[in-house]
Amino acid sequence: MIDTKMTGFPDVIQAFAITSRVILAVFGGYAVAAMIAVLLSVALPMPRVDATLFGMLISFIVWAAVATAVFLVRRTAVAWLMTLLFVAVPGIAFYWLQAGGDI
Amino acid sequence: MKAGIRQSAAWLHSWGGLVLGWLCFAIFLTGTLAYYRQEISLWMRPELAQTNLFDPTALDHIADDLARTAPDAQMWQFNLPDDRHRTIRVFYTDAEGTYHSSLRDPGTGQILYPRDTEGGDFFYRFHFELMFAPTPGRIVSGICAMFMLVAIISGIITHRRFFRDFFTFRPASNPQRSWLDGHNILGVVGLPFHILIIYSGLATLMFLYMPWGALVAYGGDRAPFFTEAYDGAPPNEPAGEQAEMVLLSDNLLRFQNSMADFTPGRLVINHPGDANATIQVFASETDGLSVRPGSILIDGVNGTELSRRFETSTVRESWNVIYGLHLGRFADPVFRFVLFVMGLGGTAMVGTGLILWSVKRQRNGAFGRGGRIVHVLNVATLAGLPLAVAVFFTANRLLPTDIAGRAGYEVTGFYLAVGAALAYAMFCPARRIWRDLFALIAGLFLMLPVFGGILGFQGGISDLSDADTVFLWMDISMLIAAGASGALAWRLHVKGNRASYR
Repeated sequence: MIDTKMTGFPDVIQAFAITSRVILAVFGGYAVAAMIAVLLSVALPMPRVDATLFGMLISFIVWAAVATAVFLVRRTAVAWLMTLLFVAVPGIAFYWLQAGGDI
Repeated sequence: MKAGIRQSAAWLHSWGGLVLGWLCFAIFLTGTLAYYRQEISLWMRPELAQTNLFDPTALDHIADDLARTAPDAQMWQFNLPDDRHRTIRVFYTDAEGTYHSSLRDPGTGQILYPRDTEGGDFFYRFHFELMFAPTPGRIVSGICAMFMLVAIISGIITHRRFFRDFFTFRPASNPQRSWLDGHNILGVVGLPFHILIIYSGLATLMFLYMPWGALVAYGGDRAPFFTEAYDGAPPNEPAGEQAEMVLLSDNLLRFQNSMADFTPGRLVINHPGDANATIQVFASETDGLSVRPGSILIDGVNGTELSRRFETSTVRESWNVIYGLHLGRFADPVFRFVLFVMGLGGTAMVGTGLILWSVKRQRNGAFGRGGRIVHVLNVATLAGLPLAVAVFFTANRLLPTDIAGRAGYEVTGFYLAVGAALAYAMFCPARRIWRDLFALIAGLFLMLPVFGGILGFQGGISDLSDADTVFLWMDISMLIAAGASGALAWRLHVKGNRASYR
């Protein structure tokens, strides 16, 4: 039932592009949101309960934004790179903080 | 996905909407009904229409009763009556941590035995757990909510002429255009409500959806996080010695009289009957937006105040208010009605989207193979769920009040109605299905107030006390539901033999 007119791609590539973006939006988006929530919970200059709650409250907006962005990017490879970058940047910041702020 | 951003967004909106739309419809519909959870509960337990006025000494009677009948209880909780609750709802946990609950008369503290029903709580729980077990159900509804946020964003991007379309409705145009216009108007008008209600819904269950920050910041043990996040009293251990407790009524009145703007809503007694017993008096949630407006902790044996908490941090207060906005417990009758109408608008938005999907892909009134499945599922949800609600209410009125497992039969009736609508959609020609089902829904809703009257459940319209007002409005609402379904069925009947949707 996939309408190829919408993208002009042959079915197999089309199916791969769609499957891969759904995976990215759901799991990639969740990974980015979770990573940001974790980073904020230890990085924000406020009591840890508030930092943790703030991170959780923000995470759903992050997730929705990433999920949408993944579908708006033209190339599937770019969508993957973008998501990886969004996980990596807060991830590196988190490990840097955990390591005591200096490497 | 070489095509433009708008096409990708449109693809995401329509296919994601198809896969999750049926669940989103169920969530929106039952959530909207849950705004009247207490009123529905009362209507479904008409035996509670005649209860006494609240007398604080009832709390002492309940405490005596629990101390006698459940001496090993670890915790008691008494939810006090208010404008929308006419009983004291009592919960306690036994030594194994199992919850027990009862409804008590607000004047005497005696256990009340209304007919066995889940009442409005059924819609409340179905709203976020659907037909699944609690945790998987909450995860599924979380996925639906996340999708709806994405659907709103992609819907806005798809929407070329956001404000011009706002004033565009072409009911007599071709069916696809009218359904599209309807879907757009409902989506645009309700947009702020939809964003608020979906986001706040995610926030109510965020400890389940996004536990990682708490796990990392608290080193794997989330118990202290929960205590801090809820501004809870630090846990205390029982002393193991028996002690005489202070009278609950005295302490309730003490705070009620000394604090002008404090309405007690709930009492939680930890380790009742122990030398280390504590009593926590929570402020009622109905006075403000926050779901946790504050509490006072007192010693259960000598009544001294141990701590009070009415101020909290900005972040915690924001979360409490977001949570409170979703539950809407603060709403007065007028605002509650506005919320209800906006909820119905959201339900209709999802419903029109699903029908639009089906109409768009019909060719000369015929479905393709996939289109047939979509059609059947559309019937099972868009007509099946309203039918299920009507059957649920009807079962409440017609099932004998003394059969065992009665509440379960009502719920079974709810699911059987959805199943029956599904089966009917599979075996009946498409053009008759909608008309027949909505006629049936209209008939049931029309009968419901009549059942109430004939079987003598109500106090009568002559005495317009609170309880009777609730019954009166429930009856009026059912007649309105009957009228709307009937009008829809009649319109479909008059339109007759053209294609199945118009």
